[in-house]
Order: sequence, then structure tokens, then C-alpha cells
Amino acid sequence: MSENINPNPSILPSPSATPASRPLTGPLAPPPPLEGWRIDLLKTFPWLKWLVKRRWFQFAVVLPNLFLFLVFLAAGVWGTPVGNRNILIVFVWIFWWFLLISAMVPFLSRAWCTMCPFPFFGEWIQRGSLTTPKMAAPGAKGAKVGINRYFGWNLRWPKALSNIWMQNIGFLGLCTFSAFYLTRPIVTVWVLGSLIIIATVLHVVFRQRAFCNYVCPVSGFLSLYSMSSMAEVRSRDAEVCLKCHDKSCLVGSERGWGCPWFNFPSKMERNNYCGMCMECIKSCPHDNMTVRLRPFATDTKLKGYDEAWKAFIMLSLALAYSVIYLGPWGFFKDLANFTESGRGLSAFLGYALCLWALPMVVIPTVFSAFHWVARRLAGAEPKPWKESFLLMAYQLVPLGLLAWIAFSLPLIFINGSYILVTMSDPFGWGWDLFHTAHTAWSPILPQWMPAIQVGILAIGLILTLKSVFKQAGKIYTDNRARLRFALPMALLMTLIVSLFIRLYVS
Amino acid sequence: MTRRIEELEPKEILALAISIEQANQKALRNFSEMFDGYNQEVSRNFGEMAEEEGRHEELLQQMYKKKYKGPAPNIDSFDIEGVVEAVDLDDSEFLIFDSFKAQQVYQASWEAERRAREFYLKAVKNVKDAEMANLFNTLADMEGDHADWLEKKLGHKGKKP
Repeated sequence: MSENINPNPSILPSPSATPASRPLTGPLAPPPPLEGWRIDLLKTFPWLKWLVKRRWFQFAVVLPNLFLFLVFLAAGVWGTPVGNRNILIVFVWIFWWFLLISAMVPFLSRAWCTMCPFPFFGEWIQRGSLTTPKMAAPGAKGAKVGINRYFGWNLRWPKALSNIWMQNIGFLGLCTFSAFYLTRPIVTVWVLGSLIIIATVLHVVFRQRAFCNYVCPVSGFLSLYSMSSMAEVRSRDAEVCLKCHDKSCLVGSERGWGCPWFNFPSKMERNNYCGMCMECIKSCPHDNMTVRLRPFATDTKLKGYDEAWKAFIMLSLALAYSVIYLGPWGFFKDLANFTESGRGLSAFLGYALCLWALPMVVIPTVFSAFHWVARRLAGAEPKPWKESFLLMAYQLVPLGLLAWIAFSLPLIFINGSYILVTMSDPFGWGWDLFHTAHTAWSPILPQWMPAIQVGILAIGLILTLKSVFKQAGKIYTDNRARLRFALPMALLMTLIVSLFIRLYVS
Repeated sequence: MTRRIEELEPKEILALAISIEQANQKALRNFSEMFDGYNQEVSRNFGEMAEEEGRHEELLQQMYKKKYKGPAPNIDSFDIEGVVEAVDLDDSEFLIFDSFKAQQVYQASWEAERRAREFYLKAVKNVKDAEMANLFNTLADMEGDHADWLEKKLGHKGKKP
């Protein structure tokens, strides 16, 4: 049931009636028309609205997740050191990763952040409450943010770090050592345990979810790929938000905390920094915030080079991991896992250098070269370099997401039987809780895997090519210039997909 | 059920203008609270604008007392079609990127005042009653004065709406 949404609600008197008729821009201008269909999920499913409006909603989804997470960490410490027999490795790096990248991100945006256990303790300390929002009052303990009251130091996050470069570097750093924590449960415990500790400390020191916005390596790619997601939290009617003087979605109220992600939800136009905590839906006094379904890859605006580099990093890592973990070249896996393979530290450093150079230098250089050629070919007066660069770098977002899905499919289809084994014997101690501990390794449809991967990549390519030509229209109004600009970029996207296909098919 | 501004009684229009100034004060104070302890200059500017809206409200209250007796009817911007004057921010991620400048507070207020002026001038064209037209003109002039005051604060650097 698709809802008709008026993309231009009556916010202003007709411009033609104004004394000086000019294009309307700025805060009071109507929002840009919505592209594609929308389904208001909270109107369509009243039970969902009831659920997300409960104060205990987020706590109820985090708590079981936190419990499982602690059990997994315990398995990492006390369970078997054999990776594919330990629930921590199998559930986190196979099952969770597959669910996250193939189902949650494409269909539910950042729903993982709703239930993520990393910020649980920090946010609890910061709020001094598990569910009920606290209001600032004269003489009350704690610090004011908006009109809510918080504990901790509530410091301002440094301006120089108010971007996602730390997440980019952190994710690349983690991925450099992937072979260690993918195979050794105790290393995974160190990694995940450290993230919980860092999250808690940062919540105590800084305002709101500084950890999630600027530090968490998982949050970084969720932020980028949520742009492609088919779910969004948005305001229903821009006019209602304009007239609203409470601005509760930002500053909080007795019904809900002000946006913990420091977003201004009523003006949200992209998913990147919405952790789907549903606080704005609770706090809005006009019932004007909702969750909607929308077409795939609707948000198209990257705002800075940090986000563009995130796209380069993610695409490069999908490529590198496909070579290391899915390819027939054991040499690369040996380099990544040098302590077991005996290749030596210098070989690992060489591997690390290549892994960093690919997304930080090689791919951006190739991309820039194609972009430069595209602008030269188009000839006409173009928009600034940065603007067209970011518009085209966005094309790597849906493409990268589908490349990651193609990479992740074999994880579950080939290694899925380990999930059944470790469910019954999470610690590798010989238990058989669900009588599945002795399930034999049985890959599903291994002979079909390349065809499925090629199919996914082909969908990615079609969507990307369509988007390249469409977005080129935002840079060049002249059709000929637009085509000349789009062609080299389309060629680059085709080459990237061909490389993936060659890897998977060979 | 919302009404068009031209359908309101003069008394109601003045009451509406008062309630809009009150609403804007509240919104501006809320923005000020949000930036308190984060960016003091922005917070201060929002506070200053809230006080300014308070002064506008006082002027309108005096005008109402002079013209009418008794309490003002209960009417606010949600009761009418369109937005007369609303101060808002145009970016949802300004706090995340720490990109909001103190001067933008004046810019946002200036745009709101300009729009309000245009709204009242449009209303003048749609009424036949002389008293109503006079009232709309007065309100438009007041908003124009506020916009001029803000333009001076912006040093004429305001981005034209």
C-alpha cells in the first residue's frame, strides 16, 4: 500500500504572489521533491508504531543482544581456540556479518545500531537511566544537553575530528589484521572487548554518541551503505516541523531524549547518521516522525572526501578480501596470516602496505583520472571538481554494497553448517544442546555460487550505470556534455564489476 | 480544521501574530539550549534572537490592548494554512560536523522575517476590508523593520532568500 506523499507541502505562499519573486532557498524553502515511492510503515502497521513508541523498545532489543554478546565473549575466552568450532568466530564473522551486510543494511538501514551492545554501558552511565528520559532542572545533578539532563563530562567532540576519517582509518586498521581475529577467538575478544571499553569511556567523556558518530569502525560503513537502504526515518510533513516550536527531536522532551546522534531529525535528508533509535518518533509532539520504505539507493549525496574515501575503502576491501579469502591463491592468505604461515613480519608489512595503498591511493587515483577525463571530454563549464567528484564517488556506494553481498554469500552458503555445530556446542567442549553438534560440513549450492554472485554484481552494475547517467545530469544540463561526462565514469564502473566477476568466476 | 489567514477576524490575526512570536521565542530558546556548552557564541546569538522576538511580542501585545478588550483568542500557526514566520535550521547534520556558524543564526532569523513580511503583503492583496488591510500592512512593516535590523547585524552579507 503505497502512500501518496506530497513532496511540496504548502509551506509558503505561492512564490508568484510574493513582491519579489525569487527561487526559494534556505530553511523555509520547500524540501526537494521525493524521488520514488514511499510506504509509511508506522501508518501501515499500527502495532509497529505502538512498539517503537514504547520507552522500553530499544532496551528490549539491546538486552538479549548484549546477553548473547557476553556469552560469545565468554566462549572466546574459555572456549576452544579452533575458530570454526567456536561460536564467537562463527556467529560474529560468518552469521552476523552475513545478516548485517546482506539483509539488515539493504532493507533495514542502521537497524543494527538500534540493538548494538557496544554503547550500552556508556549510554546507561551518560543518561543515568535505562529507559526514562531525564529532564534538566535547576539544581539537579548532571549536565544539560538541550532540555534533557545527562551525566558524565559532556565535552564537545573536537571539531577537527568531526568527520569519519577516524572510522576510515580504524576500519582499515582492523581489516589489516582480519586473518588474526577471523581465526583466533581470543583476538576477537580483544577487538570487541576494546570497542566496548572505548565506547564506554567516550560516552563518559563526550556528549551523546561521539563513539558511534566518529570512532566505531562498524558504524562508518553502516553510515555509508545505509544510504542505499530501503528504510528511512523521516518527518512526514515539512510544514508541521517548521511550525513546531518544541524541536523536541533535537532538544529532547519528557517523552524522548534529544537525538543521541546529534542529528536534527526533522530536517533529515539522508540515512548516514541516523542510528534508528526511534527517540525522535517518541519525542515528536505532533506524531510527525515515521519509518518509511523507499526504493533502493535513494540517498545520493556524499558530503565530503571522508565519505568518498569510505566508499573507496569499502570497495577495495571487498576486492582484496575476495582475493585473500575466496580466491585460489593461498599465497595471499599466508601473507595475511603470517604468524601461522611462517612468512615473516616483513612479508606481512608488505601485504599491509598494499592493503592500505589500494583504497587510500591506487583506487582514488584511478577514479580521479577517469573523473578528470570525463570533465575534459564534457568540455562545457562544469561544476566545481569536488561536487562532481562526490557525485560520482557516490556511485561506488550501491555498487560496493552489492559487491560485499556477493563476497559474503559464500561465507554462509559454504560455511553455514558451522552455525548449526556451534549452536549446539558454543564453547567447543563437546556439548550437543540442540542435537546439531555433529552436523557434517555441507556447503549449499557451491556449484551455483559464481552464477549467483555474477547476478548480484550485474544488478549492481545496472543500477550504477543508470545512476551515473542520471547524476551526470546534475553536473551538466547539456545532454551532449552529460553523455560525454558519463561515459568514462560508466566505463570505470563496468571495469570494476568485470574485475569482481573475473575473480568469482575464475 | 485549518483556515486561510484571510478568513480570520482582525482580532484573530493579531492574536495569531502574538502567538507566532511566542512560538518563535520558544524555538529560539530551544536552539540556544542545544548549543549551550557546545558553541557559546551560537547559543548566545539564539538567546539574543529569542529576546528580540520577545520584544516583537510586547509590541504586538500593546497593539492588541489598544485595539481590543479582553484576552486574545486562542489561535496559533497550526490553525492556519501556510507558514507565516518560523525560524528553523536547514541542515540536519550541523551538530555532527560542527559546522554551524554564529552568523547563521541571524541569517535564519532574517529569512524568517523576510518571509513573514511577504506573507502579510500577500494577505493585503486578498482582503477587501480596509481595517484588515491596514493591520496586515502594519504587521508587514514591523517584519520589514526586523529584517532591516538583522540585515545590519549581518553586515549586508545575508544570503538572499
